[in-house]
Amino acid sequence: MFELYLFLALVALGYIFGQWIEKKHYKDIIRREKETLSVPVVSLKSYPVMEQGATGHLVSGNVVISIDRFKQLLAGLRNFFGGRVTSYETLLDRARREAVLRMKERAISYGAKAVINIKIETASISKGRSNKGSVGSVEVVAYGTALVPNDFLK
Amino acid sequence: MQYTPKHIPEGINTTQSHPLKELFVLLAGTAALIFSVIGIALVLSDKLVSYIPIELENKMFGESAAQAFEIKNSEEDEVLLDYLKGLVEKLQEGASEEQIPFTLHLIHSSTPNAFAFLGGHIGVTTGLLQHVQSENGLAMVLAHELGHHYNRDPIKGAGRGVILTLVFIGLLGIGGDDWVQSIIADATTVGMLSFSREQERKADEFGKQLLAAHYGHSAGADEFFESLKNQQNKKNDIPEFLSTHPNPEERIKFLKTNTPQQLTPLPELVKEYRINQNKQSNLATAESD
Repeated sequence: MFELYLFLALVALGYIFGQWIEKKHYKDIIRREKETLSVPVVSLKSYPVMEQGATGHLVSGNVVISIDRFKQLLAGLRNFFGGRVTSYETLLDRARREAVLRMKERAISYGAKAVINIKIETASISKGRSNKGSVGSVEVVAYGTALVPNDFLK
Repeated sequence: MQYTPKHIPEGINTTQSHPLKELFVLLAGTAALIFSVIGIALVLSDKLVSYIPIELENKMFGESAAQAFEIKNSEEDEVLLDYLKGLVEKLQEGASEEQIPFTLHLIHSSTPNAFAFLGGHIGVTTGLLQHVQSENGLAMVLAHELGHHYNRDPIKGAGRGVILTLVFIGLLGIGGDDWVQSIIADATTVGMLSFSREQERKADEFGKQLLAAHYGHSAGADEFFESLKNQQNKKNDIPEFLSTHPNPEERIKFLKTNTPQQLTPLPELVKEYRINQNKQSNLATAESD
């Protein structure tokens, strides 16, 4: 019986804190995206800025976000019935945007005008040891080439 | 290539649904699924369990209940039991189905009650004898309990008990907390011993049928329940029988006949038995004073 109460408590905790943290994170993401709008991030292999002469730097951003019990419960039920697991959608969205933002911010600190040839990769940490107590987390890595114009520092 | 900085709107990679609503919908779906599975299992159990032949049921459970009832019967108890057994056998002749074997038990208790349970057992308390005025009334009670056996109600109750126990074991695991287990055990016992309204109604119908076949009419069928109701009205406390068999008014209405008929009186041996019982209980109360 105790395990049931513990589980319910964790689910409630997950809901209250998880939703609050998610809202905060989204606000933060939207603000930073607005601030860094001027630097495009593309998966193209070349970009006009290169014609004026530019140096390339490898930049990457990564983030690890943990899943709370509430999301897990929703996902478990969805796995049984089928359909979109909406509780994980926001997780992945936040993680991807955060990773790209961190990569951008790194690039901007180099003085880059654009980041090209970006790739995004997702991993699920602690997938190997799936024991009962642990809860998984999702990791997203975004990497690309930051193009810094050669006349930047001049 | 032209790059125009523009903020992408929200909600493209996510679904705008409130998580609590989603949780509620999913949980409701899961609950509906579980209850429908249990419902189907109970219906199936009722159907399948009826295929167990009565001889097999009596063989399996005949002994165990008799041992639970290890009462020493005095000689006059045996005489009474013989009479009751004869009465039930005569009543059985009026049944449209094949007759079934049964075992009668006399329980020494002042609380009026009658039981039918697994293994073809029918029990009546000595207290019940105080609440019937004619043989018809007594016959109705016996025929009603016999009806439960004809309808296989006891074994159906046992089947449901098994299914519900399995469900609870599956949900909570063997060896949950002690108090949970005791609650489940109580619930299953109650489920096994009590019959549904529908089953009680069918048993009433059966009893009325048998009475009509044997006496030519079913007058006196409501005697027992009327007597209990009077006791309730007089003493203002609910007899135990009524607390487990609800809605006596409906049953009295169903069992009543409007045309008065000649009722067969109780044989002398029953009346004598009753007097002896009263004497003994008076003695007992006198001694304890």
